[in-house]
Amino acid sequence: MIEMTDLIKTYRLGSVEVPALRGITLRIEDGESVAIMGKSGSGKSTLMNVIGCLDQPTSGSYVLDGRNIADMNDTDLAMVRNQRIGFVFQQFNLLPRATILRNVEMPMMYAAENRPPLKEIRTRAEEMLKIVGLGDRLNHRPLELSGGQQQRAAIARALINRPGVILADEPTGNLDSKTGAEIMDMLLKLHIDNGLTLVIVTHDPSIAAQMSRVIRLRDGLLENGNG
Amino acid sequence: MRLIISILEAFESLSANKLRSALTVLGVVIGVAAVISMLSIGKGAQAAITSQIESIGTNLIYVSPGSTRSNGVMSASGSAGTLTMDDAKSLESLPNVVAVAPEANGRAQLAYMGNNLNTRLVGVTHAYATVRGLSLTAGTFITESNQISHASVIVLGSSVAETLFGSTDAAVGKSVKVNGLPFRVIGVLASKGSTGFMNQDDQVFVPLSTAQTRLVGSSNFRGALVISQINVKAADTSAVDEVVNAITATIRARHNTIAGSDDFTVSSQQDSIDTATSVTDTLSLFLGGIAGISLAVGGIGIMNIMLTTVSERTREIGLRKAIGARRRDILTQFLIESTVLSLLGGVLGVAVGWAIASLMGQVQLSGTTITPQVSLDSVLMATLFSMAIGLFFGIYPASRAARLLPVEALRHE
Repeated sequence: MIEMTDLIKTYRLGSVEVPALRGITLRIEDGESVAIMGKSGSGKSTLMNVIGCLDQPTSGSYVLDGRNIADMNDTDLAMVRNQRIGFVFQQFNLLPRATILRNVEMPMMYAAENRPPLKEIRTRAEEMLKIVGLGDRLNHRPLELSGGQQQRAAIARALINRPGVILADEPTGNLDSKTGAEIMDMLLKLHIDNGLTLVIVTHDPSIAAQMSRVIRLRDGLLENGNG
Repeated sequence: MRLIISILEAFESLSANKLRSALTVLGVVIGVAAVISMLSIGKGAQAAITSQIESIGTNLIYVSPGSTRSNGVMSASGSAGTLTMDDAKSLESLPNVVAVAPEANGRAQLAYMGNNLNTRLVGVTHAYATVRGLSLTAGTFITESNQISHASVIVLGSSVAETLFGSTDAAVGKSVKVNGLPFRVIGVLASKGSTGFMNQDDQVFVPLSTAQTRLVGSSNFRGALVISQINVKAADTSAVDEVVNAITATIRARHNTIAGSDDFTVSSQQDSIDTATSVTDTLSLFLGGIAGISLAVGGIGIMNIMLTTVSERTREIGLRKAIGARRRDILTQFLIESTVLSLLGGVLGVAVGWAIASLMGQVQLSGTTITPQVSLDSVLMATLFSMAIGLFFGIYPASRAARLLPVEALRHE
């Protein structure tokens, strides 16, 4: 469960303080699907980064699964990202040098505790790639695949550590509409099948319409009051 | 992240930029190869010089005249005619002394038919061959009766015989002119090579009595004939120090001198080895130090390339952090990359250095072949040192990578 209370995030540009989030109180239940919408500069990327523990709030509290993120150190944050959150990026962010199998294995390699043996990691990565329909492309490198296939590999990578939350930042932004729709179908199916919390940042109202809830941001505040 | 996976990834990312990695490695290769070859040449030179000195015998002791002081003015060491035949005789009875060979030396002009040369002339007794370990290829050495009869006989060093007669065999029995006086050649020495200080084959020997009276002789103020040096052979190497002390005491008593104002010097072969060793050690250190500079330059090359790599891969670092890499995971990853680079350079550098060293072994330097010795510790040291350089010069770039903020790294284009 994601719980934010009076969350404020301020950036410092030289001597000027730029507020990005100006007091967000938000609650997202386990298994919910939420779209975050808003114009650029509205703070949605910042909100996304804070939810994903890539960044810490300046003040206010953010409790993820009962643990206060604001109190955590760098190593703890890395562990939370590794175990609890799966990221899907607009640019896929796969390592071009490595095969997609190795790309998908990577989050498991970084597991600090209870890391399974290499063989098990390999088996699990192969399973994940089969689930996203890339069972026959295991040893291809990302640039040998289409955009849609790369995004599927990225989804497999996001899911390999069985996280509770999938954070997708414009996951269809770099894809044509047909492929984009396929990716959305896949994300929704995984969300429903595995009871995952799905949070998507998007500009696309048709994607937002597929979510159970839409959160709109304007100037660092929630537009429809606190959710 | 498991170590083996990190090493695999390091190779993967290094091979993504093959030329760049190869050039960086080359920098380290040159540095390590220079260190290895320089140290091995230094070691080789040391071994060559030491073995030459040892071939004369490690149980040799030299007594040479010291400097004299007249009215408080010190003259050059060795210039004084303070050693006499009686001094030499007095040493024969000392314990652990096997043989005593006094000598008087100077330079002489030798002529045979149309050939002539200037060489070192040494007046010696029969004991000299034993003491200095000389062996002959033809004829005999100076005998006791030659010494008693002041005979005009001469023994030639091998290169002298070759210059005058064309070969070492043809000389025996011939008559050569020494400073205009006729001398009969009775023997030719086997070639011994150079000590690095002087060519032992370029000298000739006559009876000491003959030398003193007719060739290089001089006498001291009492009218006794002086000698240039006394060579003493101790029973074995371990007795050398004891014999040196006994000789010093004996001659001090004869000359009525006290420690600090002696008019003679006693030195052993070990002293020469020690001197030579300290000279070649300094030489090795100097050569190795210069080579070490190029190794450090190689290290800076690694740092340069690692900094480039880190900034090129900022986005990758961001991604790795987003999926759970800790600071220390990123740090290790980049440190492994720089260490792989430097270690690769180290291993290749040892091979290249070895090759250079053995090539140098083919080259003759002023008649002496130095056989470079690649020692295990210089190989180990160069390898470990190159690894340390990789770590040292990798720390800054790697910690820069590890400190990147995930949000900013991910946004990096």
